[in-house]
Amino acid sequence: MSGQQLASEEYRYRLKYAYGEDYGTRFFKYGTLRKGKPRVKSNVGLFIEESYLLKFFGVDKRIVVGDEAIRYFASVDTVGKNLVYPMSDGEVRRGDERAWKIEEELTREGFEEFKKEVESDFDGFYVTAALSAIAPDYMYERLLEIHAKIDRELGVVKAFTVIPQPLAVAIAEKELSCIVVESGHGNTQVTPIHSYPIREAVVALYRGGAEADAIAAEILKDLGHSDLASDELAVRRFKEEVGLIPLELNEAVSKAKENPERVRVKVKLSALDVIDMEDKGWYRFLIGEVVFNPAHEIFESYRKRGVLSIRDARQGDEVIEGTLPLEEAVVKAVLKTPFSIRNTLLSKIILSGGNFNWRVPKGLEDLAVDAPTKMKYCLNKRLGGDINVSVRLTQDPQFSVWKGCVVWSLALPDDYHWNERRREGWFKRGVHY
Amino acid sequence: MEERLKRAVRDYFLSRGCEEIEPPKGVDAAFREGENLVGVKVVVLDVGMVGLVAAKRVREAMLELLKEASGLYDKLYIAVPEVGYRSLPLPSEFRRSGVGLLEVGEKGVVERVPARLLKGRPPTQLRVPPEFETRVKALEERVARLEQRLNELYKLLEELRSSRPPEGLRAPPPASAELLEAEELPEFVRDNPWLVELSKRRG
Repeated sequence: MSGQQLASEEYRYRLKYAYGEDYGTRFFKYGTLRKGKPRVKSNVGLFIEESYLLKFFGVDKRIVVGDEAIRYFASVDTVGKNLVYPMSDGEVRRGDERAWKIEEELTREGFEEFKKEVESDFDGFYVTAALSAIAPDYMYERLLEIHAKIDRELGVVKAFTVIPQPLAVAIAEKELSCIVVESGHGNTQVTPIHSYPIREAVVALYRGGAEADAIAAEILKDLGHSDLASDELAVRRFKEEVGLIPLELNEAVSKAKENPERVRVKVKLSALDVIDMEDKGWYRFLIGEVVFNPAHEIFESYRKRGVLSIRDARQGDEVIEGTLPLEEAVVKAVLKTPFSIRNTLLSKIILSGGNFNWRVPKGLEDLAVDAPTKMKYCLNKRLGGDINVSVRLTQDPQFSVWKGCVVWSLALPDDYHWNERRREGWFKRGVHY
Repeated sequence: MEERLKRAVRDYFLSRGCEEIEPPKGVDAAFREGENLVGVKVVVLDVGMVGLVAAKRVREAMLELLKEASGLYDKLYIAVPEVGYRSLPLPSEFRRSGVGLLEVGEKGVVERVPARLLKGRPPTQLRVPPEFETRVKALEERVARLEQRLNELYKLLEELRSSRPPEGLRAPPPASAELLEAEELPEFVRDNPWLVELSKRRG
């Protein structure tokens, strides 16, 4: 058998068994390349105390994860204590054994589902997981341990590796050199990539969808809907329905106040809950602006009331203010990269994550913009108009991280073994465990 | 506001046993503290000026003060009204510059960051062993050489990427293009340059 034939054979195997795992704060996305898109489960777990009611329903597990957990809420007396969201701001705390137990169970269930679909040649999946760009070392180590353990139990992991989420986005977008701005629920990471992620240039901000949610909840309260303001789902729906990104916040707010009817909107959140923003339509711009620039004076009252309490990030010796405007974070990241690639990086900025997914309603084009236009505008303002800045949204904000993972699983050579320092390569059965 | 701040600063230094110097040059108030001359610049922040805007204003005042008065005084201070730490540059910025920070509140003046001696420090503190200087210089030269080499390598990498590699070096067709087509790969895999890029990686 020639080397080429062997390569083809191995490649065929990878096509069938390349597997991706995206560990997000809200959702765990997992599955094989063959399916073309991942399955999604809520990143949540419920620890169940012994209960006759649950036994009656045939539940004998002590832990239920993902969406299944939600089904049992009503049967469990102390949901607050037992319901655990294992990730916060993209991180699982080092000593939080309950949280790690949930991640392990979600991972195991994923493999159990896909193991049912394998063929006779199956000898384990090539698995690539994605973590936040600022995930600490112990998270990498813990995932390696979990996958080795599951392989010993089920024989499903032939090789395992971990990559940063922004790198996965760049891969899904087919860009070798770019800047990925990934904004999730709890954090926003600016990661320059030049064949490898430039780790020392990553700038992380502890803000994201959670801050937009917080502003949306306050708006609901101001509009007299305090009951809905404490309902997470209602707040998120309201935010998605009414949120707008202003090109210039001050100008948009003042024009909206001059002519409130232009930005007035009525939202039907349920059959019983209709919200009319009346003359408070200008609030809509605050929801879109907060991810870009929470330091704006308009948010001062929210900061004072503790609605926006964004913590600073410590990276090495540097403290990065959580309220740093987004364009400043991009410039900060680029300035830490080698001089020769800065222009290339600025010419390919990719925005990824639900926080950048905002519509521009018809008739409001002079006040509201999409996220790439806003980012480009802010960068041009910051750097001067003569710089070639190009910004685009990832084509598939929901699944791009998972897509990057499966491409990695497909192409990384088999003999490229795990390197602790670089945090790259395959962690393999028979070699490492 | 400015007068109130100046008065509070004056009372503070006089209560420390300092002697006021009139007229102050390049600062808003000046004092003699033992052998040292101390200069203070008062920065007035409006009620509406908070957060990054206020911090920027203080930072500018700090730079201005260093530029105009660092040769005239042994210690320099910025005095601001009580506005909260979020509206001020980080304490590390003050420490690095050597400028001290005085916060004037209802309860009087608080020295948030002590000023560093800008000149006339005891020679024992300033003296640096000559071998240390030589080593620092050697390290600086080494870093400069490495930076230059790094830039050359990046340039080379860019050139390599833009040119076609020789036949022998080209990555093995990732299990051949026909196989890719045959398997009806999803769009995000087809023609993805990372397939070739990753296939080159070796441990």
